[in-house]
Amino acid sequence: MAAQKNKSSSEQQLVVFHLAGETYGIDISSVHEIIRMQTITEVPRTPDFVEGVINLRGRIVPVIDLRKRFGLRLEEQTANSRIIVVEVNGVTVGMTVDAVSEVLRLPEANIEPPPAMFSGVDVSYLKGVGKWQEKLIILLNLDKVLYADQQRALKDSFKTGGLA
Amino acid sequence: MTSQFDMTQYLGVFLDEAEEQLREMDQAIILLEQDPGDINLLNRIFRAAHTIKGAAATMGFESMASLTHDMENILDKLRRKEMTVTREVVNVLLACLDHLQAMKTEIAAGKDGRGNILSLSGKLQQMLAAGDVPVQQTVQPAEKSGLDLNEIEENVVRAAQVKGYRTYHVAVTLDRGCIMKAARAYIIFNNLKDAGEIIKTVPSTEDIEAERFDYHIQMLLVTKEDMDIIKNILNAISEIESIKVIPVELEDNGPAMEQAVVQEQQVEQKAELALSEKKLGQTVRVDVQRLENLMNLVGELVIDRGRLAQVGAYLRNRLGSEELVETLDEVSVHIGRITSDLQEEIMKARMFPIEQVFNRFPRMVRDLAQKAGKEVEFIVEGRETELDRTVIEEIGDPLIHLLRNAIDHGIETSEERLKAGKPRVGMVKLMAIHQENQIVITVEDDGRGINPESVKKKALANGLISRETAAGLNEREALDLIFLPGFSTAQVVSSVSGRGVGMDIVRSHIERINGTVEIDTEVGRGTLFTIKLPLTLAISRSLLVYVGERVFAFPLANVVEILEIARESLQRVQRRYVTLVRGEVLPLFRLDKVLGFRGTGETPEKFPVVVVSFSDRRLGFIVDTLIGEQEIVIKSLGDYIGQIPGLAGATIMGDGRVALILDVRGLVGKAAGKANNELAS
Repeated sequence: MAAQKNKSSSEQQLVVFHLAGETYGIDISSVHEIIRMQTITEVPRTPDFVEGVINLRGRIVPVIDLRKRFGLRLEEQTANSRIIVVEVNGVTVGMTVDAVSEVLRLPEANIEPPPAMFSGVDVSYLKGVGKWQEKLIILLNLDKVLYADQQRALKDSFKTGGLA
Repeated sequence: MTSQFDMTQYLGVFLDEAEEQLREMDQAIILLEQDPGDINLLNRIFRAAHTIKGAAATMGFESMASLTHDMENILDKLRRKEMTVTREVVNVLLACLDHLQAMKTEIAAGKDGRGNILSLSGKLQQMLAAGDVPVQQTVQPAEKSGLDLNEIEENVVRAAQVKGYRTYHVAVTLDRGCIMKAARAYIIFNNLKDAGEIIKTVPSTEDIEAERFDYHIQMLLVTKEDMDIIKNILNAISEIESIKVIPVELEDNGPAMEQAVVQEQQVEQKAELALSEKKLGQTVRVDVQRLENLMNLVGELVIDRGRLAQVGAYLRNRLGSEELVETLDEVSVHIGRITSDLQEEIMKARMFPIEQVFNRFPRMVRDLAQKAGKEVEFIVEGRETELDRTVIEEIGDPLIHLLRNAIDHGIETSEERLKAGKPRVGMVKLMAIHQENQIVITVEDDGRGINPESVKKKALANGLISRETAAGLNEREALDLIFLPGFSTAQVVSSVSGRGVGMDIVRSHIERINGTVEIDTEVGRGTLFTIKLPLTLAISRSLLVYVGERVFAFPLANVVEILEIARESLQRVQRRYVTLVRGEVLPLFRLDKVLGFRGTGETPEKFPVVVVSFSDRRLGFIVDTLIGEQEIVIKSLGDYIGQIPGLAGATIMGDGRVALILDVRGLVGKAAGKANNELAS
């Protein structure tokens, strides 16, 4: 029992997904479920990375487009595209990703703090970078991904959005 | 006494009960003032005071107990006609009531609710002395309790307490009409046994089995459950007149037990005094959240009902009238009916009589009138009208405002009224009725009315409108100016109203709960405000429309009519599209553009227009196709997206897709704002 505890505290269990050629990981405890792409109802006057809302078994759940959120080039959805439904601070949000590959346990020792500079994604969204079998896994800080600047973006969208 | 054991777990119950009794007292005192001779009212007040006294004493709130005790003395004298009900008496009673309220608030805030009651008690004593009759002790000497514990029983209770069990003194009074008392008692024992163990009964079990008892049974119950559960168990049994569950604490064993029994007997005596006392109905207290959950589940059912109907229609189209399709139809219709019934029942369970809000007004009106030096008769009708609790929570404030205005600005002083040839006493009438799918609440006064011209002047003076606008307004439009922010009609800023906030808040409050408010007034005759509210906020009848691929829902409450408009009847006025409908100009907006979606750009030859009204303005929204009327379940867009101007939420349609519900008020604001901007530029 104790040994197991030790083990789990020295490693992180991650859901690993792909986005624009990079590999990302998020803490499994915040992942609610992973679903196939489905019709997303666009909601006006929201920041552009908010794709809209979906019907998740009777619940209305907002979905954000991670490519748009990270300012990456947009691409067509494929059969591998998924929505990862996460729960952060009691709020449920879906995130679109290119593909979900696996769940893995990453030893803490393999995780390094985020570098000062990083090509592709804004460093403030990162929690760290992990190494796994010669691959780099970018660990996301979901709180930041969902909320950083979200308020400002919302306000901006009210100002510019809509009527024209 | 309180320090020895923890009373906090009963605090909630105490506060609830105190609240209930104070409300009862409040109502009765106000009625008493109008009808000083009514002994039943005195009894009601007495009972309320008595209940509070007992509860406060049990909880150790001495000041509260002592104040209610003094009140009882006065009331008792009044009841026995040794004193008469004068305005002064009523004022003192009300002052006591206020004091009790304040104490209750303090207690709720975690203080001891001591309050300074010396001056009040002094007043009460004085009054008593003036009556010149020795003070009658209302508290009877404690009769010997039939529930004294012997040593063995005491040890059982103690042992149980150590293990985390609680002991309750349960007293049940059977219905006088109960025929098989022993059987009824057996059911009570049996049901209570599910919750715990009965270690003692009075009368003894043998006597009960032999039906050698009147209607009262007392028990000692050792259980892990809390008081409410025990009460619920008992409430579920029929033919019971009253139930008392009192916790027994052994550290204090003798007194607590005895006190409980004394109170019990007091209550019984009072019960005999007043046959009109409400029976403990067969009710169960349910957490509001549970009802919300139930409502959500029914919402799901409503959605599936729609889906089922769609599947049925689809199969019929494909297969024609085959037997299986017929059966599916039948089942679908039946499920539809059951779902509607279920929905209605749950809606009803969430409904409260508007009484809850109305009952605090008579006192308020009385105080306001006294303060303003006016004589007002306050009439309330339709207390029993039921409304969804979400609506009830919101409607109080606007009503307070309207009533204040009526008394402060509407009703004239008695001299003015007499001069104007009106009855000396002014009339304010509050009424609620159920009309189709709406609740209509009216606030009416027979005061001086509102002069549209002075409203205009005032709005001009406050810089709310320009001179040109003022000149162009008709009477109705001029009256509507009072709903503008920053408008206040009071000539003198009184302490009661006219603080610069006013009708705009009333209107925005009411519109927030999808209601409307209208004003009707005649100078010299009075003013009538009519508020229309939806029965519930959870489900709304809506008009579904297509705009491109997207489906939107207009709440039907806002939809005035649907027009089909031909392209050639469109006109452009100052960069806005308008059309003429029965000689009036109707501004038109494309729904997709207003919402910020890219439109298709092409305007077909004929297109449907949804005409909505809001704050007496009318606007038309151009849509692509009308789908039809439907009952939809309103769901929030969630915290992440938050409030979006122009959207009231989302709903899930029969095919599982999400449709956005429009907030016409937000849309109109946006659209109108846009129109103004365009006019300016």
